[in-house]
Amino acid sequence: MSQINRIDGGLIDQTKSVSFTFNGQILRGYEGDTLASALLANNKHLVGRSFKYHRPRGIVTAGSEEPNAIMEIGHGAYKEPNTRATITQLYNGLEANSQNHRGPLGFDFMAITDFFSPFLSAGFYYKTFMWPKAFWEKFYEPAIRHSAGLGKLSMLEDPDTYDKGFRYCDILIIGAGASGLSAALTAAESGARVILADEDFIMGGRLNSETNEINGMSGSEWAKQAVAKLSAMDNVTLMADTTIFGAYDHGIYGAIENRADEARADSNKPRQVNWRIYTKRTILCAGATERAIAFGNNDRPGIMMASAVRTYLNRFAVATGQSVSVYTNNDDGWQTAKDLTDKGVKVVAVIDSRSIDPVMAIEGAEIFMGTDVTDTKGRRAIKSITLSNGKTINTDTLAVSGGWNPNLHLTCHHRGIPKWNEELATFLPDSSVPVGMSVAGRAKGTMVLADAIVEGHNEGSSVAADLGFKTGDSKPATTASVAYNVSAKWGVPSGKNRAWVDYQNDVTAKDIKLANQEGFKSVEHVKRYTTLGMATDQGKTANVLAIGIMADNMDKSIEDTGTTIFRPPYNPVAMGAFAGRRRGMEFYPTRYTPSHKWSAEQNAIFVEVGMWYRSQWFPQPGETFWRDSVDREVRQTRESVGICDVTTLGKIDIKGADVSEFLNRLYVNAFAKVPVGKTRYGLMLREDGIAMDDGTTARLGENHFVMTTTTANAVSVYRHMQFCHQCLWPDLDVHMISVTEQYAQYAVAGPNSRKLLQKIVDAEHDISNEAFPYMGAGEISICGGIPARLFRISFSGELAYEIAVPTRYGDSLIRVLMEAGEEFNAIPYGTEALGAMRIEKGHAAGPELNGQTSAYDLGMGGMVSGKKDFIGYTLGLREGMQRDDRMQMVGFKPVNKGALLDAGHSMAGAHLVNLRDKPDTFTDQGWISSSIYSPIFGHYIGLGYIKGGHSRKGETVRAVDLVRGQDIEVEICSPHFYDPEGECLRV
Amino acid sequence: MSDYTMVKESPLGGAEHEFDGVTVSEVVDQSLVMIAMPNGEAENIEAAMNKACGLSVPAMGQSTQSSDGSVTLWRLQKNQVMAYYAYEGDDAEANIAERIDAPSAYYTDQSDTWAMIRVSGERSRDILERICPIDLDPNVFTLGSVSRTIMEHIGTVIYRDGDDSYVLLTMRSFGRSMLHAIEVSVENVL
Repeated sequence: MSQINRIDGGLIDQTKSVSFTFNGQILRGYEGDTLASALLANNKHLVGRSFKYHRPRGIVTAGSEEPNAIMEIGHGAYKEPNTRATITQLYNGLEANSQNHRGPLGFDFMAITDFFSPFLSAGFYYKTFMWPKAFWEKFYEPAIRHSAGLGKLSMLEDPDTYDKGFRYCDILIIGAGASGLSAALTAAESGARVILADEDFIMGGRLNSETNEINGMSGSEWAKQAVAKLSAMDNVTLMADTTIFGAYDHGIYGAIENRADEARADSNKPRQVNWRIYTKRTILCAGATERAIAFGNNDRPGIMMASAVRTYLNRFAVATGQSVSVYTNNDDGWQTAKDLTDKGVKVVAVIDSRSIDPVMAIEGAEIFMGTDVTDTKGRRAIKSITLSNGKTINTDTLAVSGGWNPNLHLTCHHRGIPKWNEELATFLPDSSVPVGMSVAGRAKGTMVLADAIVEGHNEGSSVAADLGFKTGDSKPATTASVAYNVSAKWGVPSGKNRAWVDYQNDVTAKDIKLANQEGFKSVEHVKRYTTLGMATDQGKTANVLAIGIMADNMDKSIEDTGTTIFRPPYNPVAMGAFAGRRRGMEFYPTRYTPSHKWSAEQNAIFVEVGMWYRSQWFPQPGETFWRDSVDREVRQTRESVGICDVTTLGKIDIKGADVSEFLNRLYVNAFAKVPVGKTRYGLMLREDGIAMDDGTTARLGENHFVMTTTTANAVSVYRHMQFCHQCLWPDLDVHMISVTEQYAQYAVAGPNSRKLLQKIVDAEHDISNEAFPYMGAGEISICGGIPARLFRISFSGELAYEIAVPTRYGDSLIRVLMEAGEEFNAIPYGTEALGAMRIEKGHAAGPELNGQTSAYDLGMGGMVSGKKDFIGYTLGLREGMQRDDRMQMVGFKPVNKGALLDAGHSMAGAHLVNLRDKPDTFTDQGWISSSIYSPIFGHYIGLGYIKGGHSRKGETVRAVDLVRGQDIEVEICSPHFYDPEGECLRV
Repeated sequence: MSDYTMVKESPLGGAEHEFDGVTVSEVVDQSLVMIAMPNGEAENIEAAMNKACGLSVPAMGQSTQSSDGSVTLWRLQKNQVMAYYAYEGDDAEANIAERIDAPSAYYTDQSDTWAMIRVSGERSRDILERICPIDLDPNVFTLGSVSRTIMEHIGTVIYRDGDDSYVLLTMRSFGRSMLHAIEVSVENVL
């Protein structure tokens, strides 16, 4: 019969049946169920096997603290392991499988480990698998990982999508139970922006699990009405099914919103949203978690938290058994017995460890005061319990309550240390909560519902008032005041029987005792030695119990024993939720150049340069190898004309009366007297005298310059200039703004470049060699009035120009240039040919500007002005910066011109050693920083650094590439391989 | 007369997408010019522009409009304002210089630097809260507010130009990535 444990009522919809499978068996539940409640309704108590001993385990709790009922949900790539059945909302078609067993759940082959348990005590791995050392990685670890462990990953890419988001509020209220709702009502009434978040898919907290009456109606009904009232208010955002998992700096909280329902209906929708919530104030109303008592064999299926038994009974209409017993050390446990008998479920016994009068009469139940449970029987489900008085009672559910622990985790995320409270026998948040946070209700240790409501109510209005909002005069909800009395009870002497403390990691009271005996006194050490509290549940039901047991063992106070550090996340968060939507192409944005569309039409091969996509080369029909294309692009540019998109280079417009002075202080060379209409190459240093970036700066007007930077340093140079202006020389009248993207800029290089440009430049602008000589710059117009900027500068070493137009014309300009260049056989060239030509010309670039080189090292010592101060000047004068044996940039060419041709790779990365030296770190003379095959010279060439290089030209050394197994002789030469006198530039 | 004709193109080709509750469209009819105020000239410039068209220098993070509403100024930095105004010509610098009539200011055209995308409609804030880290509450980011921020790793300027309408500016080369980010938000939210 299906759902044999289901009774009437509850907050589920018993008219809406839902089917699901558990280990392949088709079962039914109702809308509003969790997977756990539906399993219990179907009398499925055994739901998994424990981590280490493969003990049969059942559902223990009804919340996110669940240590046992963790499942693999879904199948294929959608499968998610270690999912807590207690917070998984049931849906049609849900597939759940239990974890960590070989063979069927009911007969787990690995359960044999349980018989070896005497050998598997705390520290077992550390003691046993030490020898032989070599066995660890190959044998022990794989074997241990195979036999122990939790769910299995699908090993497929997660097909679900995730998103992130940002929300702001005046007051974040964490937890929508009685105190959270009360706080939200008063906070919202004041007009403050309120976010109310709760991890459950129905708001109301314990009110949905209890029978308390509030304002004359059931607690759940009151909660429902409060939620309805709040949801109608514009200043309130309700976030159900949302876990606040971390308290971060500046009032920022991390939240995971579960939207699995939506994602199942439409697979494009995110399954979870990772919210960053910015708050002014926060009220933590996270309630409390019930803890267990450690007694012999306390881990059998059917032994549950007393509050969970009530949740299943009252909220989910599930009677977890037919003859229930209750074991408690506090008054609240008795409520379970009462609720069960009220609903007609047989309670066979109430056992209270306190020697006091019975708290209430429970019809039909035997009452044992001052008595403990010491042992239980039943392999796959509990059958009986044995009491400290020797009596044995047959029972199919044992509801245990060891008292309540406030959920104070978030109060400790900024390293707060909770404070022990003897009366409540629990830790409470102290004053070291994160800035802006306050706590109300059970999370604060206010265990009596009536008081928690008033506290939430008052906290909501006082926090709102603190923020300057006008609070209303509404009254807190009222309910009968029910006392909570507790007397600490951690462990029960259990003889040879094991008493579990941490169910998920299989840590027993004995393990803790052993750890203490072996000298582990600090709670942090015991945690790591025993693995207590280190499972996916982070010991939510175990930690305080363990600390109590430790204190008993060591005869210390609990206060002195202390807690471990609380860190985010409060609950496990899927890795996908941290990544959000940033996967694949969305990992970071992509920048497209103005010629991208046209280049794609030409089948260009693109390369990522930072975030930019640049054309690397343009293959032509018949070209099968990248160098076919690159060599052709170099040759054709040098023979006629080539065009390259250089928009990515940084462009900074600088205006103001003091710009020339500003530049003079930035660059090593003089800029004060650059005439209007001229460009100058400049090198700037860092404060320590090391080369930072280079580029050309043109003077377009008396108070107007435009600077270019390398692509890689476009942002950092701009930032450096802003720093210099804002912090060093704020008095200078200088105004700068990036125009990198304002202009599409193309290099037009080669002997025919002028002829090509003359076809498109408007007639009124004379760009002849005389009128527009080398290093000329000016604002012109092209194609009948389109504004443009022209610079006669050359990276390739040819007669060359860079032409810039407003980017709106960027795509058009490459098309026009190619069309006008047809008669010259103009070709586009990519970054490879660009690099080849700059190496042929001996221009330093990224690999040379590596953060270690001075202007002198680069061979630019002659450029450095001695007549002015500039950034890097003083520290550049240090002796070590001027030594002759520094690594200096020079050129290298193979002695044997055919070297490496067959190998098909360049000298880049090779290290330089003297001819007779064995290559090692002691003989290292330098390295080749950039190298290419030069189609002009027909052999490889390179730029690089070698000790004292400037004075070693003509010397032969070896370029040794240990990675690729090459060792060739190279001659040290000038870096300027191509046209060293610069004649081509000036024609 | 030139043998060659240049054709202009907006960063996103005039993209426009309508969804239930949100419209995402490229802004193609506006120019942007940075107006820098030389040291000691701020008062003179403000007086001049006030006289010419009733413009005042806005407070940081805010905007002002000319008397005829045709020019909006944004303030994101100390010594400069950004003019945002309906104009499609190639000579935006000269055009705004004439309208504002403050010759001592420095004008730098930024119209082609930015891709501008308008997200408007009653669900606009629901879409933007997935990518925008600043507070867009209507009472906080009031009408006419402007802010620099980062969305999806992209430096972005956001300007509220209507009750439920926001213009997002990203460097032109990032335009497609920003449009995609907005479209993903629409897909995720609506």
